[in-house]
Amino acid sequence: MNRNETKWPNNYPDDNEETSPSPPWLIHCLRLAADYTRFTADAAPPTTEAFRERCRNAAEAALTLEKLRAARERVIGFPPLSLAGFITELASMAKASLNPALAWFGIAELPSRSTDNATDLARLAMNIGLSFRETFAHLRIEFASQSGSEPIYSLLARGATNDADGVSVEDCEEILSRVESKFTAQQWKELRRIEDEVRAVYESVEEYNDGLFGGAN
Amino acid sequence: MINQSPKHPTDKRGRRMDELARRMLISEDEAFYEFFEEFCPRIEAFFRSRGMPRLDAEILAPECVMKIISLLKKGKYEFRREGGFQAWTFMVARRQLSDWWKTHRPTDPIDGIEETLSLEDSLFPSPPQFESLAPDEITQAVREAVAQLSPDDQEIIRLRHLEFELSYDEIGSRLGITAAAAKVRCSRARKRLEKKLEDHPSISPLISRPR
Repeated sequence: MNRNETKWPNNYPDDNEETSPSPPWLIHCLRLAADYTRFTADAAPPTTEAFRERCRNAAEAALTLEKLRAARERVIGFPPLSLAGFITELASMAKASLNPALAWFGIAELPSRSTDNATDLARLAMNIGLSFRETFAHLRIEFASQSGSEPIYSLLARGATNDADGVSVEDCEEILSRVESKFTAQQWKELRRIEDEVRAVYESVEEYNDGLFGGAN
Repeated sequence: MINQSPKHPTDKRGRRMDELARRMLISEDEAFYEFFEEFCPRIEAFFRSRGMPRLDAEILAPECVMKIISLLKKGKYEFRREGGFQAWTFMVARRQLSDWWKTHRPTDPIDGIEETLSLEDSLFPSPPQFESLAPDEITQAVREAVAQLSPDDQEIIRLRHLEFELSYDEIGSRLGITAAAAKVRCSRARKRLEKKLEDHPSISPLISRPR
């Protein structure tokens, strides 16, 4: 049978006076059985070369993300880096090319200013396993650095309360808050815009995955 | 399909998918490629069979597989029963399709059929009480019930609902009867199937019958 992809699936209620509608649960069972049987057939359905290419790219991206996640789990404390800087470090630790993952998220290359592409980078960060709090903290660091009012990286390097574990995200947030207290209204507005972008990324997935990415704070 | 043994024919495949999932969990590189090769085409075909345009299906299928991997890695699937992983995968894909339909709901009737306004509902009626049953369990119950029908009933159920999902016109052409006659036969076959399923041990506890 030629399954026309634009053909609507048949709806089963009858309008003939000699027939009677079937209960929804029966239609549900029949439809699900049909779908599941096709889904689990031994032979996979035919596909286009373009689609197979897309699948291969997705597999490479998934593998890269897996390596980046594993690298992240080996990181102690919170590295006070920009988001792009941190992701680059993770790739180095994982001895992996970032290209497949960047391509998957539609990022041509890591931007020199992470805040210019906060949404796409946040999606990448989220898939590496960073929480909303961590992702936003990295972006705040870069934003503070761009604002130029304080030598943020120096402050962060000195800010560790526990040298053994380096800077914690709490230490970092405290230092950032002090720096940000000197921001202009325009800078605050820009920072809030970045926060809203990142939060939207995490909240959209939060809803879908029933709290899978539980780091959204 | 209907004449296969009542024992679930995909046991071997089900075990293979369980093994593939376990290999994914230990981050075996090759498993990632196999996983996409295995599931992407099936999910894409499933999406298209339920009305998603090819372009959308080809974009969403790999994304769905990425999501499945992510959920697997986060421990959202537990290996409780043999062959359960592909059933779980199917439900994740089904949910993604349902979400897609929520944002692509048709606003105009198609072919003058009023019920297309509730097409999403008809695609996914999912009676709440059936959420507790896995798709392979429902499929097995349907197979077993259909196997108890007469050959004629089996054929029309297969043509209308299972293998082919043909229109009554198409069924009529195949069987050499009118579309109206096909509709009547199908309705009666469904009625008989309904009774078989009502008595099935998996289905019976889930449906309430009128006293």
